[in-house]
Amino acid sequence: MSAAPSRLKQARAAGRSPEARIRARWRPLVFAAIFWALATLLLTLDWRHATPHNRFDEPLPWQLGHEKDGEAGHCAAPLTR
Amino acid sequence: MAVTSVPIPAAAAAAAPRSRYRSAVQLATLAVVAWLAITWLVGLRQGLLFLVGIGYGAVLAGVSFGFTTGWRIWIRDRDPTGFLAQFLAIGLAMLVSIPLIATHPELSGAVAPVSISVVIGAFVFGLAMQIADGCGSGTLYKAGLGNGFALTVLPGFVVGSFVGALHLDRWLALGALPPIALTDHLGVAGTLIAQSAVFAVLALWLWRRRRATQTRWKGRAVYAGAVLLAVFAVLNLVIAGQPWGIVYGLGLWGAKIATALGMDLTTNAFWGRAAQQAQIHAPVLTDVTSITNFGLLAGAMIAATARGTACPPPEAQRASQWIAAIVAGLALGYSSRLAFGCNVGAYFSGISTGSVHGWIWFAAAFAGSLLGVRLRARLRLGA
Amino acid sequence: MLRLLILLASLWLPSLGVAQPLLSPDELSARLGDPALRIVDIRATPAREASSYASGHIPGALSAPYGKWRGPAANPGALPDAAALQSLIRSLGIDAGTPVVVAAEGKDTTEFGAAARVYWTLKAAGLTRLSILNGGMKAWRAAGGAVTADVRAVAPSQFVVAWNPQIIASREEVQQAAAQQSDLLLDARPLAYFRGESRHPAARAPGTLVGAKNVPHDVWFVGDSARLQSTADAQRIAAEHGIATDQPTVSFCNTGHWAATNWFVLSEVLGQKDVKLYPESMVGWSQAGLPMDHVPGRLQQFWLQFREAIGAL
Repeated sequence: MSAAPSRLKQARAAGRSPEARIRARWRPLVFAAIFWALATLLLTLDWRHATPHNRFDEPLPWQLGHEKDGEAGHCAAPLTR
Repeated sequence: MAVTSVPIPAAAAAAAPRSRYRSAVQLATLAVVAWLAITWLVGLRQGLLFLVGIGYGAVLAGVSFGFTTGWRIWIRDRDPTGFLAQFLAIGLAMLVSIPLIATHPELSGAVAPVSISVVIGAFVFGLAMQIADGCGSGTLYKAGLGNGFALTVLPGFVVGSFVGALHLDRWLALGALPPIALTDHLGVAGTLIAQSAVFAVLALWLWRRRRATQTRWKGRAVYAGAVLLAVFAVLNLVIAGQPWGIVYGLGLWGAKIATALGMDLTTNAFWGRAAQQAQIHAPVLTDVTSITNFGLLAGAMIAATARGTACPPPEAQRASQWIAAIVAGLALGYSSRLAFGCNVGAYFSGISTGSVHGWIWFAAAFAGSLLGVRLRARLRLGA
Repeated sequence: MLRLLILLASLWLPSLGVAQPLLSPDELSARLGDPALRIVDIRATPAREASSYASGHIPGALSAPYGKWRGPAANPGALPDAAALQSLIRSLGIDAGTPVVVAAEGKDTTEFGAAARVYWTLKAAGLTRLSILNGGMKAWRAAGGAVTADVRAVAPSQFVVAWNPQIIASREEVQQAAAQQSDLLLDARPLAYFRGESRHPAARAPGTLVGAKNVPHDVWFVGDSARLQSTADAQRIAAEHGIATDQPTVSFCNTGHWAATNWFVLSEVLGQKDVKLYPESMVGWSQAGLPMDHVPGRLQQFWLQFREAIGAL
């Protein structure tokens, strides 16, 4: 896709009435704000209700060169554990 | 590509890029704050993986690197650009990943059985991704940039992949061979040569059959994007010890929500395992796939804002098309668990780490896409 | 004649309850004739290896691998279950007043700690006539001592475990001592553990007890061997570290293994009063979430992790 419609063009496309222009301009921002607010809320709830994180159990910054501990996190992962 | 006929005042056009970049920089600042918070809370590794995720999202949205669109454009217009870019990305990642995995036991490839469920799952995924105009990475990066349709697909994806994992053992009972790692049979060099040869033959075949069309991808950007994706995928492997994945994280979110709502998963063949139960009860920020997913969302948002493609106004859709989005999301989620991965986890990471299931996924999913493109036209879902 | 007198004396003196905490191979060899003597071989190597109990042990020695004297896997330093310990001691035919010699392989300083820990466990259970074979089986073989594969049969005893609080520091006691800084708290671990740069895998966090002093367990040895220095030298070393004192002392480490060496030297060899071992040590302490010193802050932890990660590349 080449350059998408700018906000100004969006407003024009939405119609000439001022209310429609304002709505077209702010709606995506409102949705984005709601999405990110929801995401932050869920993340906060998850942190509060999860088992407390022990920072000394964290793995080293990268895996290369160090023995592995456990594995849960991939669709294609050994189905043994 | 249709050019709009509405004239834009010169001042607005000149201001637009600057205000776009300013917004992008603001978002990037927020992302840096998020990165610092993640590092402080859950450690250096998760922080680095968040950055890798931002890399994925920025590249995918920045060059419109759509796996789904790449296949559709070939099927419909015989334009091989998207396909070739995918081969480049997977091929480059493979050249580094396979030798690394062979020499470092602490790094795992995408290890999945060669099962009937892979064939069925991949076929349905290939079909559904054309309906949804988004695969695993596609749905995420479009959701990140604010695309309403993708945002509607995403919840179904989460539910579908959670339920798919729930039923996985029953699907495997239909018939499965143990995982086949090509390096066990061909050695590292043999695997690299064989896979490169297959890519070369396929690329040549696609190139021969191309039709001269105006490609939607301008210039070399998509190939630069392919190289960058390969770099980030290798970093993913080196940092996390496992290759790039997307759908596991989505299923985990579903499992966490289900557990919070009171569902007992401890008896399930998949979610009841010790490692899975531990991950369900641990903070989501400690999960590798989830953190790269979050980064992907953020990176896509930033890149799309800089390009001006963020938050596209949703085209007026009929209710049936929104329903199709939800159903497609469920199908995508469910089928990708059966297939042990989506386009990223199975196709990209499977092939680039030398697992045969990746090629089976590719073939079955492409067959599904052939059907999916036709269905898309039938449902009049647009180009 | 003189030799007979010395032999009779060496048999008679222990029966007075005078036990030597450290026995040289020659001294042990002289006592082998005593049927009441119990030699506990704590080696845990697999049976087919050359340095295992099954391949060759001191005549009359009985096998009781080190693991049997320890706590559960999640907290290996904790005192073993009293009933299990009691049945173990009974099966070895050890009763109150039985002279016991603990024999380890004699491999290195850390392995000596195992012998010291078993010695401590026996004393904590109420036994009094205890010794460690100085230099272990390595020294025994070097001195030409006899080895056999015959396993001796002993009749089980009626021993009853009675914990000796004078040498056991409980978690509550250590909590009080740390809060009031009333006792001398000795960390027997290498410097990196004391500084919070390393931790035992079972510990929840790195660090040491508040106000602790670091006296690594290996200062008492000749090089990396399992031979302790002479008593005079040990006295000097203790004075240098400022721990030659009658102030109440608590010896600790990660799981009460290295700490047993420090306890043994201070309490048994140097004869200091009021020296206790904190058996579960930092693994148990950190699992209980109790206050610690030298716990690395977040940024320091990142730096340590980064250094460790780079080191392996």
